[in-house]
Formats: sequence, C-alpha cells, structure tokens
Amino acid sequence: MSDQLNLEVVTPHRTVLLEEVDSVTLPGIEGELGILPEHVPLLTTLDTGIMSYNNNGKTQAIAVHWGYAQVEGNSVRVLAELAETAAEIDLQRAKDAETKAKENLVSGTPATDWKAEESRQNKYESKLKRSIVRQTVAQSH
Amino acid sequence: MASLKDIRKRIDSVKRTQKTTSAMKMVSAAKLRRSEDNIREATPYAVKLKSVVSSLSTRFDGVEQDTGFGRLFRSSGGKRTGVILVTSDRGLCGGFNASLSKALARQLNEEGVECAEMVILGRKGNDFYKRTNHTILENHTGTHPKEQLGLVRDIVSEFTKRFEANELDQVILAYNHFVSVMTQEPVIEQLLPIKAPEAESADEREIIFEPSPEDILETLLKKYIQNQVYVSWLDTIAGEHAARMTSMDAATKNAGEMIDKLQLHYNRSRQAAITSELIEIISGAESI
Repeated sequence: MSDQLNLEVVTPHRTVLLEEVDSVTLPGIEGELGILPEHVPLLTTLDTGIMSYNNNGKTQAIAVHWGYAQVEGNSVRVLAELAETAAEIDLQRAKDAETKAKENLVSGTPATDWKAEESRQNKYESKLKRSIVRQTVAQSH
Repeated sequence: MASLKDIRKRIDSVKRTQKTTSAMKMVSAAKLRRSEDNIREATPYAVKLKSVVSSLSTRFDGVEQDTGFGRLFRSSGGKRTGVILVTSDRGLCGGFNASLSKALARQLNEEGVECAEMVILGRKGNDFYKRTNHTILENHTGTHPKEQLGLVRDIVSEFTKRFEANELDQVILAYNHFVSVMTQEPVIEQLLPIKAPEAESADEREIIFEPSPEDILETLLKKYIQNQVYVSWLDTIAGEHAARMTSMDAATKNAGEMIDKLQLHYNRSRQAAITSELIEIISGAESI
C-alpha cells in the first residue's frame, strides 16, 4: 500500500504540477479540506484560494481560482480554471491589482440599476480575493 | 507561338508565385508546431475532465429529464438545432473548410433540419453558410482560442440556456479533427443532449460530493461541454496549419515542375530562333 498521494494540477492551458506528495490541503467551496492517503472518494468544487501540499516536511503553495478536485484512491486531481505556483506570480502586479480593486469597490462609480451594481461589486470582490490569494502564495515562497 | 519574351515573363511570374507558396509553407510549419504544443498542453485537462464525467456516468442513467442537470439529457427528437461550426479565417489550405461545411450541410439535410441556428468561428464557414437557409447568429473572426476562453463560455452558455428553456432540441459541434499532418477529418458531434462518455471502470464506492451532487454535476457537465468546444477549436487550428502546409508544399512542387517545363520550352524556342536566323544569314550570303 502506497503512503503517498499522486497529485495532479491541470488547467485548460497546461499541466501545472505532477508530483508524489504526502498530503494536500484544498480550498473547497465549503471550507478547507485536508487530504491524506487512503481518503474516501470525493468530488468537490474549489473556491478561489490557496492549495498547499506537503512533501518530506516541506510545504508548497499554489494559487487556484475556481475548479474541481477529485480524490480517488491515492490520486488527487485538481482541475482548475487557473493555477499558479509561487514562482510564477508577479507580486507587484498582484499588489497593484489589489489596490485597484479596492479603489473600485470603495470609490468607483456605481452602476445605475441594482442588478448591474451587484455584478459589478461581485466582479471586483473576486478580483480583490484573487489578488490577495496571489500575494499570500507569492510571499510563502 | 509565344515569343521568347512572353515565355521569360511567364517563368518569372511562376517563380514569384513559388516564392510565396514556399514562404507560406514555412510559416504554416512554424505555426503548426506551436498549435500542436497548444493541443498537447490542453489534452491533460480534457482527458481528466472526461474521466471525471465518465466516472459519474452511472448517476446519469434514468435521471429525471425536467429538473436540474437532468435537463441537459432531455431528448425530444425535435428539429430545432443549434450549431457551433469551427472553421478557419483564411483559405489556401485545400479542401479543409469546404469539406467540413459540406459534411455538416449533408448531415443537416439528412436529419431534415431546414433552418439551423449557427454560431460560426472563422470567416470561411460564414462565407459558405451565408447563402443558405440557416440562420447565422454570430460569426467570430480573427480570434484565437487561447485568449478566448471567455468567448467559448459565452457561446456555450447561451446555447445551454436555450436548450434548457426548451427552445432548442439539439446542439451540435462541427470541427476538423487533426489526425496527422497529412489528414484532417471533419467531425460532427452532438453536444446537447449530452452523451455521457462510458465509464471505464465503475467505481461502486460511495462518493462524497461537496456541495450537493446536483450542483456539482450541473456545472461540471457544462464545463465539460465548454471544454469540448475549446479543444475542438485548438484541433481545428492545428488542422488548418497542417492543411495549409501540405497544400502549399504541393503548390511549390507544381510550380517547380512548371518552371522546368517552361524553361525547356524557352531553350528550344531560343535555339530554333538562332537556327532560323543563321539560315537566313547563310542563304543571304549565298545569294550574293
């Protein structure tokens, strides 16, 4: 019996990661999920957040933005819309994106009807969240 | 008979054409390599997504067809059809676009669909279908799938919405599958109602869903359709470059043959002209 997890992270554009790891933490839509070998089969939607994996006592983080994770036996497949490792993130750009999103939320011109306004706010809120996740991941490096 | 000058002109013009075709071949070869890479990078995601969907396929049997994700399986056998046609923007690639457009037209004809509603990617499909009875809802040109995931999402979600609202009875996808550099084959697939891929190995263990299975399956299936369209687009682009490369290679070869023939013709005519001139001079000298 293997005591390691086969972790795969793929996006529509490329394969981000393919590694044997000891444990994985996933940003599930209903809260964080810790996955260890011999986990029960699971299918979950992922939120924007930090996915981290542990290998030989070393923890690495990946920023994922929405997707699915399937756990089956000892394989963990993450199908993300977007996934970036710490090394790939441009910290300055993420910071700029945060300030911009904040500005838009605080002092941006509101849309005329409430529905458009709601979607506008959602858009900037998710942008804000994404930039914060990116920064956290980049700094953990 | 053409004069020497005419033949020389002709040779020059064929040579210029040959330069163009061989340059186009080279450009296509480079682009083909890049688009093959794109496919290779997109494949793992598509394969995994498919296997996730297929591992859940036992859940789709006998699902209620009027609620939740079951609506994506509703088959009414009606004729209202939506089509997503993926072609290229530019020609000079042999029968690449024409054979796909014709194959689709034949299929629609066989099914008795008189007025399909189409979304066409690429200019060539639009050129073909604008003269037919089918309605072209949208035509997108000058786009590349890698920057256009959002566009794919919009097209698919629009069709899905209308399918769920019972405004369409089926949605089909037509594209060119890139088999190899030499062959591309037109593929016509049914997107909706969904045909779930068969499970390879049925996992009988209970799966935990988070959130509920209904929520997950609905978005997952939609994502699956989107990905199918996206991958088929990449496939078509690679096929386009491959088709252009082979047809430009053939054109370059033909131009070479033509130049050889013309050159021979030119040399012979030149020789004949010299000979007749010599005869004239000699007979002129004799008569003195």
